[in-house]
Amino acid sequence: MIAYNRTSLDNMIIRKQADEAFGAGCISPEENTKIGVNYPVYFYTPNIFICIGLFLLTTVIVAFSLGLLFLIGAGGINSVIFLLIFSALVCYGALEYTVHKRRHFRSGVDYALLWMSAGLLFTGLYLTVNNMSTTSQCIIIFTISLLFTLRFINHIMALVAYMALLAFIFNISAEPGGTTRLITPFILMTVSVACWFLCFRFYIHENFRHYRQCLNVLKVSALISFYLAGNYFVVRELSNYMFGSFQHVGERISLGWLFWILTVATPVLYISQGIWKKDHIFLWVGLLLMAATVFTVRHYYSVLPAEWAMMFGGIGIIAIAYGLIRYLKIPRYGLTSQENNNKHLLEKFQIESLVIAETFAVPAAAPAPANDFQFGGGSGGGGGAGGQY
Amino acid sequence: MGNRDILLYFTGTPIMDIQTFKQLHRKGLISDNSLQKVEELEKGRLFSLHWELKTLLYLGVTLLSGGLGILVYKNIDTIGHQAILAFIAVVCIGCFYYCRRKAAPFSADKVLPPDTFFDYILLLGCLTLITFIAYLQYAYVVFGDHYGLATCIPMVILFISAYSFDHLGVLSLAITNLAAWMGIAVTPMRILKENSFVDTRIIYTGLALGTILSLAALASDKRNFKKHFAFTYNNFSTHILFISGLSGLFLHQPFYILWLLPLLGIAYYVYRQAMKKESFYFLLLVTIYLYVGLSYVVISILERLDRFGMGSIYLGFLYFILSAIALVRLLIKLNHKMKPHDSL
Repeated sequence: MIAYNRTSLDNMIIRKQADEAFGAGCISPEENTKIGVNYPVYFYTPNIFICIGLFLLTTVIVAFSLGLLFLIGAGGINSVIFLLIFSALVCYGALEYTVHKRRHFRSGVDYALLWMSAGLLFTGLYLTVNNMSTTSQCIIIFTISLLFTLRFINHIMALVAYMALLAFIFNISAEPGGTTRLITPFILMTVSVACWFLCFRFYIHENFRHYRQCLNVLKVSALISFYLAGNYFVVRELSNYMFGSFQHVGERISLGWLFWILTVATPVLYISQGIWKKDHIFLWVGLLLMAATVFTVRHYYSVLPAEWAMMFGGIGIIAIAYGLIRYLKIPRYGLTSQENNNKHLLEKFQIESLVIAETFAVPAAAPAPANDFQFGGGSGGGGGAGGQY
Repeated sequence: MGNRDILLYFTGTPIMDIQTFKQLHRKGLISDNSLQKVEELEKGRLFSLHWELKTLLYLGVTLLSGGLGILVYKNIDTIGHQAILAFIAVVCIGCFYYCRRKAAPFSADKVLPPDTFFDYILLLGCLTLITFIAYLQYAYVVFGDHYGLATCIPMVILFISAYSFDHLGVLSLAITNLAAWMGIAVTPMRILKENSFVDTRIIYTGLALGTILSLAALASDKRNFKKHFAFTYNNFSTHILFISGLSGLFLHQPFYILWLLPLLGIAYYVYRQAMKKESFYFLLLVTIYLYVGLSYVVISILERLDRFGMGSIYLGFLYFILSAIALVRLLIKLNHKMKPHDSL
C-alpha cells in the first residue's frame, strides 16, 4: 500500500537510531558504519534547505505548465474540468515516477507533486457539479486525503483527512431541523475519543509502524478536537452562528455548567496525564489548551483589568517555572528539568539568534529614520521605526 | 515508546529503542559492551521537562513585561519620565552586573553560558540598554541631531557584550544596530518592508555593509577568533548583499544589465563559501536570489519583444518551466557534489 520502499523505511529508522547511539558514545564508529552497510537506505532525501528549494521549484514547474495548458487549451467549463483532472493525473503519475524510479523520499519534489495532484483532483471534481453541498465536499476531501495518506504516509494529509471527517459529522448532525442538533458537541467528542483510542491501538501494532508519525498527528488532533467540542466559547458562539439563536453576553446556554466543567477540566486532565504517563503529547496539548481556557474564561468573566491579570499571571508562571526548574535539577519521580537530548534542531541551525533579532529589532531600528534622512537626503523611503518612542 | 517517537517527530532527534539494538546485537553488528551501554543509557533516561519549563518561563516573562508596559503606558502622567528612566537603568545595570560576575573568563573560542538564565539576563540587559538610549532621545532629545552618536554608542556596547559574553543573539542585535548606524534598518524580514530602496544611495550603503560583514566573517574564521560567529555574519551579509544587488538590478532601468555583473560576483563568492563550508542553506540562498535576478532579466527582455504578441507570453511560460526543471537538476547535482553519501 505504501509507495515508498518498505525495507528502506525500516532500515532508515534503524540507521537513525544507530547514529543517535553513536552520537551518545554508545557504539563505536566501526559498528556504526557496519550497521550502515548492513541496512542500506535507497532513498533520495536531501538536506532540508535543498528540500525547500526543490519544493518551490516543483511548484513553479507545475504552476506554469498548468498556466501554459490553460492558455492553449481552455475553452468552456468542461475543458477546464478536463484539464484540471488531466493535470492531476499527470502530477500523480509524476509522483509515482519520482518515488519509484528516482526513489525520492521527502525530497520536496514528492511533497509538491502530492499536494498539487490532490488539490487539482479536488478542484476538478468540485467543478463537475454545480453548487456542490458541503457534505459531499467533505466526503471527497476525506476520500482523497485518506488515500494519499495511506499511500504516501504524509502526516499533514492525515490531518486534512481527520478535519474533513469532523466537518462531515458536524454537517450531518447539526443539520437544521435534525434531532441530533443539540447533542452535536457530544457526538464530536465521542468521535475524538474513538479516534484517539484507534490511533493508540494502531500505534502499538507492528504492521502500522510506518504510519506512526501520521498517528501521532492524529492523536494530537483528537485531543484538541475533544477539547474544542466541549469548550464553552466554541459551543456557545458556534451554536449562535449556526442556529441563529442569538444570545446576549450575559445569557447562559443550556447545559452551560457541563461545558464550563469540560473547558476547565480537560487541560488539567491532559497535563496530569502527560506527567503521569510521561507522555509529551498530552503535556504539550494540555499546556496549549490551558491558555485557551484562560482566554475563554476571560472572555466571559473579566476579573481584573488586562494589565494586572498579565502581571499576576506572569509572576505566577515565572514563579512556578523557576521553582520547578530548581526543584527538578536533581531528578525526582523520573522527571528532570535538565536537557535530555543534546542535539536540538533549533540550536543546530542557530535559528535562535535570528529569532531574537526579528523579535526585538524595533528598538534597535528606532533611531534609523534619522539616519536615512542624513544619508538619503529625504528619500521618503526610510520607513524605519513605527514611531514607538 | 510514545513520547520517544514524538520527540523524533518534533525535534528530529530519534531516541534509541532497545529492541532494535538487541536485534543488531543478535546479528553480531554491535558488541556486548555497546548493547550494555545503550541499555544503561535508556534505563537511566529521564522524562525531561526542559523545553516545557523554558517555554513557560519565557511566557511568564513576556506576560509580565507586557503587563508592566501597559501599566506604565496608562499611568505615564503620574509616573513621569525620570522614574521610568531610572527604573530601566537599574534593570540594565543589574543585568550587566550579574553577567559580569557570572561570566566565564574571555576566550577566543566558544564559551558556554554558566547557567540556564545567563543568556536571558544578558539579553534583557542589552534590550534595556537600547530602550534606555532610545527613551532618553525621545523624552529629552539628549543627542539632539547627532543621530549617528545615538546609534553608535549602543552598537559599540552591544559588540563588546556579544564578544565578551559570547552571545549570538546579542551579536545579531549589534549587527542590526550597525546597519541602523550605516543607514538601513536590517533584519531579513524588515528589509523589504521598511526600506523602499527608491534612493539608490542606500544600495551602495547596503553593498558596503554586506562587504564589511562578510569580511568580518572571513576574519573570525581565518583568525580563529570566535569562529562560531562567522555564520551569523555570513547570514546577514549574504542577505544584505543579494537584496542590494537585486534592488540595483531593479532600479537602474536603462543599464540594469550591468548590475548582473556584481550580482554574479556575489553569487560566485557565496557559492564558493557554501561549497567550502558544506552549507546547504547558503547554497539555497544563492540559487533563489540568482534565479530571481535572472528571471527578472529574461522577463524584461521578453517584455521588449512584445511585437511577438502572445508569442512572448508563451516564451515566458516556457522559460519558467524549463529553467525550473534545470534548476531542480542543478540542485540535486550540487547536493550530490557536496555530500556524496547523502543520497543515492
